[in-house]
Amino acid sequence: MCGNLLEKQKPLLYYTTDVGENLFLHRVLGVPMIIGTSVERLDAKDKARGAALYSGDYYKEGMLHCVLVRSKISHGLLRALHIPTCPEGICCYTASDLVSNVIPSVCNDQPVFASDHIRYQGEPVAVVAAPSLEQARAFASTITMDIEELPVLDNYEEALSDSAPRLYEQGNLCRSFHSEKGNLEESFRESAFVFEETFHMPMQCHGFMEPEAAFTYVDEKGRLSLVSSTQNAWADKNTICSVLGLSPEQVDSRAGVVGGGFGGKDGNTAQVYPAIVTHFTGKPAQLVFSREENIRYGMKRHPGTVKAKVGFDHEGHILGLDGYMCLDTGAYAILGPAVLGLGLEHMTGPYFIPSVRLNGHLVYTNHAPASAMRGFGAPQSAIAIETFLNKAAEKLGLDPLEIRKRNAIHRGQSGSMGGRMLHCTEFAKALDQFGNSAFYREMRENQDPTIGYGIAAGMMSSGMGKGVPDDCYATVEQKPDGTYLVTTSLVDIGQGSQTTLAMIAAETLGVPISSIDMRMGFTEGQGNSGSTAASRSTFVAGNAIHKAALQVKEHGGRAEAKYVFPETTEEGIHAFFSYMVQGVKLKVDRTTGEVHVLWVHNVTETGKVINPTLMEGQAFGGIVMSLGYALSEEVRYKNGVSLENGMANYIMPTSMDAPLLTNENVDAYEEEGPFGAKGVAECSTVALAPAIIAAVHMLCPDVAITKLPIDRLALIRRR
Amino acid sequence: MSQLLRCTINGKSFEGMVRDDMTLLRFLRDELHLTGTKEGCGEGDCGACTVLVDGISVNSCLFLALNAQGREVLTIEGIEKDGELSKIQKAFIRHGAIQCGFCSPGMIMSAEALLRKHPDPSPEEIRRGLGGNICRCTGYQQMVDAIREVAENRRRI
Amino acid sequence: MDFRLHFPSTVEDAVAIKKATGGSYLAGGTILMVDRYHGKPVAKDMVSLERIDALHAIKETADTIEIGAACSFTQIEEFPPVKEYLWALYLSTTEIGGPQVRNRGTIGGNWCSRSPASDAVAPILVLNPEVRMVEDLVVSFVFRKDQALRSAFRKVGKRTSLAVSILSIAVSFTEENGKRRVRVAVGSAAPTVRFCKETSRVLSESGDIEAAKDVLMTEISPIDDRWGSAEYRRVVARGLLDELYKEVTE
Repeated sequence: MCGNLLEKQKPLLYYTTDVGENLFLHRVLGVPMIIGTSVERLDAKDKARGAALYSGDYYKEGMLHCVLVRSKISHGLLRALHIPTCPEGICCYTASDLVSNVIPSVCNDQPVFASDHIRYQGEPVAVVAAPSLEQARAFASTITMDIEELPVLDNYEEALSDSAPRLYEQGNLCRSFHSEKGNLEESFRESAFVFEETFHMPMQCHGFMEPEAAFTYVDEKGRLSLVSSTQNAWADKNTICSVLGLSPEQVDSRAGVVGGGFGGKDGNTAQVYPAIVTHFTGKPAQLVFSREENIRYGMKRHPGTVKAKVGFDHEGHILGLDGYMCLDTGAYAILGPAVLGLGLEHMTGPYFIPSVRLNGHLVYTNHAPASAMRGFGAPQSAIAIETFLNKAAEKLGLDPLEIRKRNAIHRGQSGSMGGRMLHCTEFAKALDQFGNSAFYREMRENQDPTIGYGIAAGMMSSGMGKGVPDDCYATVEQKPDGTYLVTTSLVDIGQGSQTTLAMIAAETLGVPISSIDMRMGFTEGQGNSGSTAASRSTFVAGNAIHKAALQVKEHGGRAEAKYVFPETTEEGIHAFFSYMVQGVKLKVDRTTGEVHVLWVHNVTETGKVINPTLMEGQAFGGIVMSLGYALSEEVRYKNGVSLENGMANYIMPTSMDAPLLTNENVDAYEEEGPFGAKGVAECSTVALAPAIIAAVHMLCPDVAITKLPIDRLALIRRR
Repeated sequence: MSQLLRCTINGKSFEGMVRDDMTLLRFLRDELHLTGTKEGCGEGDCGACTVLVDGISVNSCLFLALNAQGREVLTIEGIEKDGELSKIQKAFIRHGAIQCGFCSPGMIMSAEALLRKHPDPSPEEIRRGLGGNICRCTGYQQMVDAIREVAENRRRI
Repeated sequence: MDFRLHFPSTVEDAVAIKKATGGSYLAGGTILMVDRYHGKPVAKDMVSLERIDALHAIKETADTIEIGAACSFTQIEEFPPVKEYLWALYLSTTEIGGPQVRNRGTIGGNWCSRSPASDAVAPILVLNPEVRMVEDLVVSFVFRKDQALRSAFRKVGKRTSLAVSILSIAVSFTEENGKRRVRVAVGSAAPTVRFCKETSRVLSESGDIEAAKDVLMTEISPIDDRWGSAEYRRVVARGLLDELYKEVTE
């Protein structure tokens, strides 16, 4: 029915104004009224007008502006902090002012303020607040630190050696991972050929356009109230309560309009600091990171080493994979352990492999902490299997789509850690659909030797994973005027979940979307629905809303529902995945080594697509983010200091770098999903780099690319 | 040190003392509380602060407020007319070219400047016109389509 | 950080105020304001060139194109004689930064920036205008209109827009009464933009491009920095000299 959105036919509006006709189709034939249509984003108007309020836009009379005092030293012991007497109106707080100096996290290793051991350049040591930013900066610059410097651990590959500087008493190993299925030695024995390679993946910034920001004040109920740029308003509330020794009734937390997160606002960034100031002064306070702070000291994508050995039979079937990843989590773990696990789980890609061994290390270094970033370990690990598949295809004279079809995982087959795929697994259909695309036709027929084409595929899980709380609460309430108030604490961080969830509510209730008042991102009266992360929002909140809406449809009034993301009962971390096939068309300038990507075509299988235009935007955004990953983005450290410090030298793609982008969706359906949907926010970041590598390889066959960003020098024909 | 600034902001006259070293961005956000214009980087490398001065797009983070003397400044708040969004704004919404929205004010201002100069731009010209504005969410394609549509419709009139 | 902003309306006033205060000239601000944002010390007195009409004028005479030092890159790009006669300069002005930067950045600011990555400098060096000054203020660039002069420019950045040059190169070629004159300048491959005198001489005298590429390697001194390696710059400079020389001589 819907789903094959090929070229540039923009799916404009949504359902017709002929409500009668739609209702008929809906009631008699069960055809969705709204699901599958491109409803305009509910929040787009305010954003287009400049009326949307981001946390840095908040203003209150008498407010204080905050500045973080940060360590200039990358590794050392803080012996003394010298804070001059605060002038009138200016205040300063440190670890000693707090009830608990720990930011609650999986490893609980990260302090709010460094008080003894400094582990990365930029680590906050104090917060200064003043009536103006200028005054705050001026006072902050008068604060000095006595730091006994320690040797800096820059190279994560050396982190586990005996001579490495230790960030922690127990050493620099944060987490290990091991998983095994099948009989790897036998699989390699039976292989016709084996590929083995080591890849190096760079540190990437999220690059959201809105830097980290938070605003706090005492509200009319006397509560310490937080408005922040965040992916988890509940976690912020819990952090503030823990750090300041407050009870939940004393704190309120909500998200402002969030200008992008991509994982980099999942956890404490700015939030706790102005909260501390407001707590002690009673005055409103605001902290906005400078772009330099964001690039240097903000959270990162884990850089790392990916080692893989893969055996193929003479028909291109993958028999075994021996995989290893070492990820650099920087000074503190935050979500690093989960990134390692997911990254390794995804190392097989969307393929059935009988024997798999996965090992990994998550190590500490004196870098800014790495944590969640869109793809969460999968963009790192995917480079190996996709590169090997393309290499094997070339060796066997197979089409790159064909070799993937031969290995595509199907429902019921066992995944990388032995667990079976028990949900919608239509990856093979995505491959077929890609094979019918205009892109693929052009690729097969191309005669121009200056153009390279490459294909890669990827998978991306939804959900927090086994053993991690993954609950969602939603409320639906019928109002006297016939409209419905729908709420959840989950935050729309820009990806459009507000609109998608409103559509699900409207569809369930059988009303137009204009009847839905969808409010998100606040904690008052809301259950803790966790983080906007793990491509979970549509699925987990959609199901909770659907559940609550059904009750209200039946009985009227108000209903609250809880939905728990289904945990896999099989071996493995995640229950289901979305799939993507991507084709890249590009040219290489053989004089300068510049890679010019001309077209990326994307085929997505993510169950039922709730809103095609929204989904397309997500896919396109992820592709261009990955373009940066493959070609120009990296944060490099030298002696614990990052070379990159702003938008001028952290190079993200501009509109002139971005190619023509096209997308089509596979008609699929996930039974456990709201109206058949899965989750797709991250998927498009997984496979683009290997697709680019394949296309470059077509034009520069003698060049082996095992490192990102792609080194231009290797692509130049010397003159 | 301050001087008297007389200019027009979104069609309204402004007259007042402004610090010599104040950027137009800070002036708009902190003095006039027009927070639609955003600071994305502070150094002219992202375009989130784009406004039009006498119809010309500038990075307001690098533009001194006093340089607006005698000039017309147009910000995102001034694009709509009596609550009616402009064609560019509507097209951006329709095409899904707005996600987190932080780049949108600057992007829309650049699109406005582009179409004033090149009413019928090719996709390449559109990309060039938006080349001073970074977006991390959309991948730019839907923006190009939106602007193409506005240009097409203008042509047809 | 505080400074005083002066708005002279004539060149003479500007020069006098700068002398009296020891401040800096301020043109478009796309360099100075960035420095200031990064906390680099800036002058306590800024002598703005914004309101000096003469500095913003661009005009064509029978033999020349005179570009005021405070002309923006957009202004220069949109003045048709520039595209016709000063192709290398035209290209550089179209590729600096993005539209907003080009609307404010000026040719004089670029020239005076002392940065090896200032993109208009190599084209200016190979087009060899008269640089008119009043005391220490650059007032205008007067280019000769030469139908026989061909020029070219390439810049390489890490991306296509808003890009700092990793390397830039400009080449000009003219032939008069059998006498060939080739000029080569390279940016971002030394502490300053380099006019490559020997490379220019070799190409002028013999047109031996292979020899010229080797000589070029002795006239630039690139380093490894955050933008690229010395080796990359050397390799690219060779390759682009080859391309641009072919372009201007065919």
